[in-house]
Amino acid sequence: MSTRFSPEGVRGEKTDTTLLLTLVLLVGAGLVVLFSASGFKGEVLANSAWYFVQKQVLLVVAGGIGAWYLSRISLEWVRAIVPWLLLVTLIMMVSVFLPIWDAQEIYGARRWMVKFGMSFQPSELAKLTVVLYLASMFAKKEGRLDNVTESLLPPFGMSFLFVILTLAQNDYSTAMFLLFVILVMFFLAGVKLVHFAVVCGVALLLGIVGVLSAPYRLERILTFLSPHRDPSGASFQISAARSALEAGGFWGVGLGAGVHKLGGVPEVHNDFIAAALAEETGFWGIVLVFALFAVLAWKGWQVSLAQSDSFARMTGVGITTFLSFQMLINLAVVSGMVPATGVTLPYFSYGGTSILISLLMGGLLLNLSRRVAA
Amino acid sequence: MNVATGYLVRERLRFVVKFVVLVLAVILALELIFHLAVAPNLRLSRVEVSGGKPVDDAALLQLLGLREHEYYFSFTESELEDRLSGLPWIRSSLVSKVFPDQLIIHLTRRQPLVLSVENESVLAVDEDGSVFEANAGPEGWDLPLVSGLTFPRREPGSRVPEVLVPLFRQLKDLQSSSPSLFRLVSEIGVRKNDRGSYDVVVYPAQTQVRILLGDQWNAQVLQQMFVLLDLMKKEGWTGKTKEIDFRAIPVVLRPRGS
Repeated sequence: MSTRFSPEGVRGEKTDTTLLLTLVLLVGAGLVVLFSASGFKGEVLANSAWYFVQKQVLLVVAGGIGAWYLSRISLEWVRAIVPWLLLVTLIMMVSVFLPIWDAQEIYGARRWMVKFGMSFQPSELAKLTVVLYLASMFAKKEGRLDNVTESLLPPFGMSFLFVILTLAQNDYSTAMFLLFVILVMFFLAGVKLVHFAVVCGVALLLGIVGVLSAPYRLERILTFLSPHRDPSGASFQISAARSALEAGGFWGVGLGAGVHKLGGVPEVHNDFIAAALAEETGFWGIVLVFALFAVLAWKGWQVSLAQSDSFARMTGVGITTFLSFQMLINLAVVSGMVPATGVTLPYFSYGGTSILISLLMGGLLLNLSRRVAA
Repeated sequence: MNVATGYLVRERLRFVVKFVVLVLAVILALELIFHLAVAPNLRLSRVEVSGGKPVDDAALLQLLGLREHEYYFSFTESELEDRLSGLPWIRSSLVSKVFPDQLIIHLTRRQPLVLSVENESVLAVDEDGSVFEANAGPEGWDLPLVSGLTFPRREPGSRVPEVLVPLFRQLKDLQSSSPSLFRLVSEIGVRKNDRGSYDVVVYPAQTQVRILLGDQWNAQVLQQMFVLLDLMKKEGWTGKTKEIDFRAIPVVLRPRGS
């Protein structure tokens, strides 16, 4: 048996330095790229090239404090608050439909809680909540996962409820990504393959219904299959991102020297920040970011598998899978390999809730690394 | 610790990681095969040109520097657009390559607005003041003449002096808003005035009266001009009048022989 994921690989006395350094590098690189990608839009919107970076730095500081705290508390305490976290997240997910927020719909979707000039996206919190909930449930039902009604249906029903609520918020991409992580967690937990196939079937059905329920989603799929059918409409963003990638070539045009971010690529500071990164740093920049995420995945899975407790193990595996697959899907979207979705690039994309949750996830991974050390 | 469960998680995770790595490796291998072996051999088999052009497809490709079955990856869309922008009769173009063998070119031709005749050579001028070959077909000849233009080099691809560009924009506006008035203009003369600007002299069709306009005029002034001309025709004054000066209020009528 290989020892690549064995506990022996992560024994030590403190927080895993490689994991910590990787997270710091990702956040640092993310801020640099965000400054370059958002400077122009910041100038246009708020007369300041620093507009988006300043807001992101504040969130990084808040998220960093949260991550530091999460890296030091007892994981048993985290496990104990999972039911409360589940309840709070559920209330938040439902509350976006209530007419109590300053903005009801943004870009045709109801997924934000907006008050006092600040916004929060509960579906981002749902990602972490679902991972913790499933980890808690799988740990509780450990050894009894063959019992469908007692062990599988409750986590299946609850996690799918979050997916359906996210879909109801008109956030198809987050819903599908959540669904994907749920499936991976079911698989990793050791659910029988036949039961897993049924879960996959239900997920597929949900995905198809989601696509057919909104014409623009179908349009995105058709645009992906035939990028030239609507060059100035549905496929504009993907075509523009591809132009940015081509312009970057192997070495890139240099940090800050990209031109596609100047209104050429929509949402370049957000979901499509990798297009700006690729244009300015070229193929090697993308490889470097990819390598950082690969190290994060490797260390994350390594510390997770080294846990003696099932909850800790599944939490770590879920979080690591979450972060690494989110990166893969984001890069696949930007390079046109999968249909366009609104999945952010963790630690890079601008977005308050997203960076906050990604940092908290990082904090939990650091916590696991300390537990291994202990 | 439940060793069996831990082992299962590890094994399934290894399967997932191996699966992802395998998928990425296959994609990378396919990309490499495509870029190194397939892409260099892809050639154009279909070229679609829309938007009207005075040359056939083969001649257009020649103008673009493309061979009949050019390699698909030997040129970029922006390169072709740059080359097209150098052709005098093209106002704008949109080029898109459709993988793996198609080229779509959409051209917006320059529309002749007035004609410039000199030494039997006829050139057209469009609303941007760009000069190009007047070989647009019979409809291209039913246009006012423009005289008094001075070019450093009078040839297709050149432009009228920048100071005169607003004149052509105004003429285009007139053509769009009042095509019947525009058709009543037979010739437009341009004269440099001592204010560093220019005066416009309009020679209406079917009358020998010329009309002096300043550098500020529009369709409304032209309408007033034609109303006055009509009135004068009814009163029988046109035969006695040499020119109407619209540059100031009141309008001045200059009789012939003055």
